[in-house]
Amino acid sequence: MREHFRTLMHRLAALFRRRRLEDDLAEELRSHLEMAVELNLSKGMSEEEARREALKSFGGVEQTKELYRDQRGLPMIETTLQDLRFGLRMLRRSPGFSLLAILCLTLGIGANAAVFSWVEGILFRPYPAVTHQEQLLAVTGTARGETGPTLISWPDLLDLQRSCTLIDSFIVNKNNHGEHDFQRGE
Amino acid sequence: MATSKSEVLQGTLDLLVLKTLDSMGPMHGFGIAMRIQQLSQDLLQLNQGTLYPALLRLEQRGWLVSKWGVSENNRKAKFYSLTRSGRKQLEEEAEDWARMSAMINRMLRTS
Repeated sequence: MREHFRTLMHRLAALFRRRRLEDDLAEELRSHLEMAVELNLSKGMSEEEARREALKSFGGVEQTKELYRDQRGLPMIETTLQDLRFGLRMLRRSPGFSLLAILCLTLGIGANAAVFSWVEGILFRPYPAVTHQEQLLAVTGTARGETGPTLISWPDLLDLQRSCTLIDSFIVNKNNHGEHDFQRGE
Repeated sequence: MATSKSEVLQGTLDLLVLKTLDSMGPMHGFGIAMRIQQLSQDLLQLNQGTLYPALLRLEQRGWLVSKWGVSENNRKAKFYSLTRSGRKQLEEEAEDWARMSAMINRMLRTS
């Protein structure tokens, strides 16, 4: 556990000293190869042979560096930052296109937000002052000989308001078609 | 070919590095590689490059510390040395290894 924490801290610190550490790594590997070449020369190899042998037993300088980098920093954060930087660079390279894209996105998101808030206000939460929206009911009247719902008369509403125990309070909704009564029940 | 070189077993490189530093004192990467190859009598196929990520890993865990210095033949090199918790880790890993290899030997001997 303590080792994991230490490793994390080490990796985090490495994020801020990338250039320094990169130079360190290059220097360290170069010194390794030079020592190997020197040793090979002392065994009587030719210059070229000594270098080739040294590289061969080292086994891939670039792969080693890649492995080392993965171990050193926080690769996920580093690649994300790289992608971000790349994206910004691309935006700057073609400002006209970028502007168009940004405009399209702005319009799209703006229109969506506007429509949604309108729909929410009108259709989903028509009475914002009511705290328990889920308890809203529509009450309509019925009348003999009529198939659909009918209107409720004002005296009926007053009666309901006075004596109905199922429902907390009534809201009267007036529209072009007449009156609908809404109320909150408990 | 009479004998083939064996790859370094996964996880054993750390142990070899810790042990080398424990018995030899501060060393640079090349020195560690040479020492491991010499002690294994060249039977071990060690890609020397793989040593460096391993050294970093050990350092991150606090088992090693590194410091730039000058080598025997006046070359700038990074020297690694064991810390106290590194020594403790070595003891633990050596014990684990002994237990494990004894167990495998036992299994191989019984028919």
